[in-house]
Amino acid sequence: MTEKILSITRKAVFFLIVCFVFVLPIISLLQMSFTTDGGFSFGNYAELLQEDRTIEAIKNTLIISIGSTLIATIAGSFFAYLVAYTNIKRKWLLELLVLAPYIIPSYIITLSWSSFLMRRGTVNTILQQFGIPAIDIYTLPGIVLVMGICNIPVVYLLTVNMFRKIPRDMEWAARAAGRTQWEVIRKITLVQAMPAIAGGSILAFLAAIDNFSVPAFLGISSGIPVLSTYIYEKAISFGPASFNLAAALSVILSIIAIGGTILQGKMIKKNSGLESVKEDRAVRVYLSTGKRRLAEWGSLAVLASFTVIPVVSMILSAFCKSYGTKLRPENFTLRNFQFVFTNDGVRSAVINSLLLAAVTCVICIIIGTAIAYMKVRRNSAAARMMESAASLTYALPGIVLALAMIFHWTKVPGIYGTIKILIIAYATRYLVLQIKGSTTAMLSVEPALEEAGQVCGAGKAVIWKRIMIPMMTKQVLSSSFLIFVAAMTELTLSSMLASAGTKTIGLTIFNLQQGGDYSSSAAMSAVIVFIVFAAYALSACLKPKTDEEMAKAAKAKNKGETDPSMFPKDAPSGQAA
Amino acid sequence: MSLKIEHLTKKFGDFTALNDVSLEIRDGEFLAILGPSGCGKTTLLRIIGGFEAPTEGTVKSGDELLSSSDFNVPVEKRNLGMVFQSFALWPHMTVREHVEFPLDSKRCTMTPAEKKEAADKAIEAVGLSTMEKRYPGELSGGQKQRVALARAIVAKPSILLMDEPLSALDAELKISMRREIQNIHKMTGATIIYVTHDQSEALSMADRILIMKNGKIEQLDTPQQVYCNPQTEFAATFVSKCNLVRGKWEENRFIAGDNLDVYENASASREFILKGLCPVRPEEFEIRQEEGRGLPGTIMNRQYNGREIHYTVKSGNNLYTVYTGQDQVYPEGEMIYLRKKANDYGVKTAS
Repeated sequence: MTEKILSITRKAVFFLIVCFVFVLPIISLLQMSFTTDGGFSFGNYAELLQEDRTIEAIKNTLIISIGSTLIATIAGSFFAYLVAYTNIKRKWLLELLVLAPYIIPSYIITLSWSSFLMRRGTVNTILQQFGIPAIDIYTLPGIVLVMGICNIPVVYLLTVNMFRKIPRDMEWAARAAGRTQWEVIRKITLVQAMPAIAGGSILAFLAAIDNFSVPAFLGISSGIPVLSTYIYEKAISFGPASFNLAAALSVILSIIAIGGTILQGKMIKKNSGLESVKEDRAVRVYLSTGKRRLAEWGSLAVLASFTVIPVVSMILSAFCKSYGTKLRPENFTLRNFQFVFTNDGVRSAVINSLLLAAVTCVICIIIGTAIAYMKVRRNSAAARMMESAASLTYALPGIVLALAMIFHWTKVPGIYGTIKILIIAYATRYLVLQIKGSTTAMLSVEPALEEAGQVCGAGKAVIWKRIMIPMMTKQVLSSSFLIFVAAMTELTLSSMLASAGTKTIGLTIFNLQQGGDYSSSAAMSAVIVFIVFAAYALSACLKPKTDEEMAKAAKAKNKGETDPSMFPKDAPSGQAA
Repeated sequence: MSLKIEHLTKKFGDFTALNDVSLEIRDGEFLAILGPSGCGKTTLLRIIGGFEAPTEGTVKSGDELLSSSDFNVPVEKRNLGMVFQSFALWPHMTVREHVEFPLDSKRCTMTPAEKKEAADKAIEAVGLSTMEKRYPGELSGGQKQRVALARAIVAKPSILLMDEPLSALDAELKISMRREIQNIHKMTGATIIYVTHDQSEALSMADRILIMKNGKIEQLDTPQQVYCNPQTEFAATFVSKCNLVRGKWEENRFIAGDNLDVYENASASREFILKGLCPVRPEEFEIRQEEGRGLPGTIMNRQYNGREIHYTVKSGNNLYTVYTGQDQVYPEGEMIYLRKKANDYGVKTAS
């Protein structure tokens, strides 16, 4: 009897904690948006919708989201088809370039583009010599372009696997039925890949709504408001009722975001038909040598101009004495980098970001894996509730979550204004990624493997130590690595939640840029790009061989040893597979 | 138009999938390509279909060149139909849409009325008239393969390629689908090239069987010849599960073992005569308990199969497989003699 009471108490406490951390902040935000001087009303919404600037912000948000989604969808699925289907060479390089915007934080890509298309920069000087007007990146089309580039990887990652899963026989059947390659692409391949392409484009749309960095760097100084930056401006303006108005704007933005998330969830369900199909990585479309070279080098050139060339131009500009001039020997300086390595503010920002990323990862691994275990093995309702709550805070745009965090956690003394608020905010935002990663890891360990351990006489601790942890480590760490990089380079949450002593890397670069110190922000960005790439290279080196590769190696060995009859006798067994 | 395949070789990197294969496939013939996985049979089918180009050699239809190392008539321009092991149905199309798909291609020259009639006939031929509006997800395995068959035959192709079409179906369905494929062959008169690793499918349906191993042709013959007069060790063991008895050939007598038994009026191909082997099918052996001539052995294993009993007999260092009638029951461990039954059937050939 006491055990039952204990169990109910435990459940109740768990439920209350989940509500307090994940649900109450959102309720606080809702409440705030309906609070006016006259009490509880729609006044804030009415006031906002009468302002021209609100309408403009909503309009800009939609233009930027839809425009950038178009760019991301077309480019992302085109490159995915090229990599998955054709015989182009250097696919690894192409994939690296496609995924570069996924690795480099979007504010650094934005900075690169603004340095690349400087008014007096190389590109615009050349254009003007040919009588073409200079390209201004601080405009609506500029934001659309940079945002689109930032979201290409989202669409690419979703569609490339889908393309590989379309059974080759289905396409061959259409060829045998008298249809050309081009007809096959239109009538079979694209139709089959459509759920993935649509799902990817909704994700890109959501990412565009959520993105704060690009419009903040390009839009604030040139007076182009979007919802996320408008919320930021309202929240930091400290005018009368400014928080209430920001809350109301946040609710509007959240409705769009959550609607998109639900739509995306439906797309994934529709997708599940081919989920269990094995990926087919063989070449399906052979381009003639000329066409192949054109597709290959053309794509590489376009992708390089999307990320590599702007980033290089930004790095070069960091070596210039005065920003915006050409790099020449007499103009060369290391002063900007000296600033980055010696400035106290920069050092404390780097320490803060590393600390935040590390602590967030540890919290996420422990809680996320525990939740995944309860969900997968115990089928616990509480764990599933926790996952839904964590998905909700992830679906909310970052700027909205930041605002909700302020409203909620100011009620608890000793949190707001310290680094604790950032740790809580990061963990709240990223936890669902770890739950998902740990769930995948847990699903790969069949219950029978655990039971086999029990049959052999192993206790719980031994089973975890000898079976579960070794089998799950790789998958769990790969999700936490993503969280680490995301947290380390984060800007949106910290732009609202950091205070004087708790500035992050992203916020420091943002402040330098907003303060007009482009050279220093470029130098610091260069250092961050270097660190991020070093981290990825390190993780790639440390990564053990994937199961598939190991299985392949073992299979090749076995085939050579046990079944030589399948292959010509004079062929050396090692080359058999 | 007959298909002429000349000196076809296909290499994937260092691996030779097809090694100098030449044969002629007659118009309207049902040819089964039989072999274990990795023998090159699927590669051969894909080159005939135009899905892959050969490294060397040519495929011709009559005098018209279809494939060579630097020339390839695209798949869609060849007048063929194909049935896949995986069915390869398109999840977003109904049964009717599948069947109409080949008719809507540029290759098809029928009038709209003819197209409708062709589609109706094809669907009727496979017995799916009541399921026209269904999607692949709503069909059983056998129905799916019927859709694939209808799709392959609807545009009246002169060649039908079948890549292990029955191996994804369960045992009973396989047998009934064999009849349907035979009927389709009779009805359309198309040349059928049928890839399989199941020797009973090849034996039961084909006009001729091409046995392949390691990218080379082992034997090309009628089912009867392949079964009764295998030309190579591989053909003997793979198709009719022959035991290879070691001994000495004297004209058309075979002296088994060290004078243990004499097979009168025996025949075998050159390869066997040179190697001193005689292929004996499991049902050609009989088990005797009384002493006398025959290979002495011990029953190692017995498997009751209903119509017959399968024995594994150890004689010296060799294991032999023997099928007997179901009334001949011997316990494991029993000492027996294996004799070859009188040569009363089998097709005689000059070899």
